Amino acid sequence: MNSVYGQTLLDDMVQHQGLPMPLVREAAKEILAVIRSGLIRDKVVNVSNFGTFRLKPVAARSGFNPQTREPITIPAHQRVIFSPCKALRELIQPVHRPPVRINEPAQRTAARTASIAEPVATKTIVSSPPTVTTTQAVTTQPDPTETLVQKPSLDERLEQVADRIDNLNDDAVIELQADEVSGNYDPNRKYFYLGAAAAIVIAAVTLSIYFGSATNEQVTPQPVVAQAEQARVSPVAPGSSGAAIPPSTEVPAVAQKEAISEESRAAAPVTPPQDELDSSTLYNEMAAAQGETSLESATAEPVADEATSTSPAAPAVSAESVTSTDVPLRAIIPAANATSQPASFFFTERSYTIASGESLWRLARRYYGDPLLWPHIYQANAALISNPDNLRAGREITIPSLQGASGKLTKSDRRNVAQGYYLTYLYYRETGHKDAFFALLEAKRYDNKVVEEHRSLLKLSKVEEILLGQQETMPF
Amino acid sequence: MTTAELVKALAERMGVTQKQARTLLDGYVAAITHQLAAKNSVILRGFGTFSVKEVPEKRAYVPSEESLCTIPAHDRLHFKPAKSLKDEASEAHPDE
Repeated sequence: MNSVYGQTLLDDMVQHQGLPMPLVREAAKEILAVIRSGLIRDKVVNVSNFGTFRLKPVAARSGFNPQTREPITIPAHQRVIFSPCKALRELIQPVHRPPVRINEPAQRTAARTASIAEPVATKTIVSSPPTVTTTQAVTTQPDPTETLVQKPSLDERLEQVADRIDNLNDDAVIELQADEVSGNYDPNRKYFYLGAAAAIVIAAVTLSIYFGSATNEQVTPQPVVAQAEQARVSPVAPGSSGAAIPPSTEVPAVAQKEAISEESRAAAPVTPPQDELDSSTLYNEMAAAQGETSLESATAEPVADEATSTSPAAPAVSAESVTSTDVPLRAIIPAANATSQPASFFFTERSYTIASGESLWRLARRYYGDPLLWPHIYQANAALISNPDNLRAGREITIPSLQGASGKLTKSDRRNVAQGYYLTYLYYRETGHKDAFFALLEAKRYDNKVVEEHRSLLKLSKVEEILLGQQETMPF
Repeated sequence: MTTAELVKALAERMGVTQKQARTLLDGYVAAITHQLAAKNSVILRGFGTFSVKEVPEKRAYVPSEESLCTIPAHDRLHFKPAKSLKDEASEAHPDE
């Protein structure tokens, strides 16, 4: 367990190998120099019977000075990695010790039953369903900064705008895909629209104006996104350093964390393995599904047929409200993010021009260190990227940085990733991609709230419904 | 860079034959290995430190079997590059 310096090695060589000291000294110096230059030139140097030196790129990330708690950027750099060859590895650890399998201990099952009995705690997080009276009072123009004010008023406002967008899409697509309307009609909405029935008369008058604004909304995605970007950056206050990481709102009991249900096993192949390895005890139980519709069409813009899942009785309310406002569709997403987001202390984004042969997966691997976070890039550029699996070379996109790091995502990071996966689900569903449902499962894995918010827009078979219920969300 | 290329470059720089260079390289590696086998840390100024670390027992998930397992405590070779090496590498490859 002692430390040995280079000189000891040289003495050994002279003593045991009978070589002259000057030669050995020069050799030692040159060997290290050659390895060094080779490493920098080729990024990999293999030394037989010893091992391989490698350079591994590490993405820039945010961190803070542990003494002053001052936020800093840890710049992108190269990590030097040495992986010993098999012979050396076995010299260090002569006896191979295979992993020992553990059977599920009794306390684990006990913990599981305890956690099932306790979904009420998580239920409280879900926002209350909107009332009819609030939706009638749609006149104010939602400002992204204003939405930060209070929880209830935000919910109302989101509901109003979501509704407007619903109906916008509704009328536009209804003729094309009338047969799909029967899909997932939420009974809650019926009362909602009944209450609004009084507005039908006024609606008929303003219908023509409504059509004018409807086309405006849909034809111009470009400026809309620009606003969305702005809105996303603006709520980020410089923030005092002390308030960097907020306490998590839901603190699952330890027992709950321990629980790994049979259901989660069934869904396990879908989830990437390294996350499983990171935490040996995983996942908390999910709350029962809520019939909640508050944010549903916030992300509906890229997929036009969203609205077919809602009731055709809708135009009544929207016709009135749309005339009084010109809300950018996508502005809702950042606004919603802003509330769930703590005042982040470090938030930047860079613009990036896509080169030939690149993919979101690769960009995420390079800039986040984890390719599975690619939807984080996708959700920020959803309007620019038509197909997330096939980027256009030469197009300029923005790569938002993570608030946390790849291993330690913050709440808003997860939300963004989940949004990205949800958008992917919509895209895949539209194009008939076989992996559409898996994208949705991933969305739930990162943030269940995102899935719940869009619950009424999902078109799931019974089997998928069950599988989705079994998919667990990563613990915060 | 392969070992053959390394030996060739070493021979050129030292003005010896490749066979001799190979002998010197093997001898040097053997000296390092000898110390590591005794669980000594080898500190090479301006290059880095090889050390043997004890990894404590930990639990892990086996995705193929969908079960937990215990990875027993074991020893592992660790290399910590010198700051100069790390900085030089980072400077040479700034982006990616």
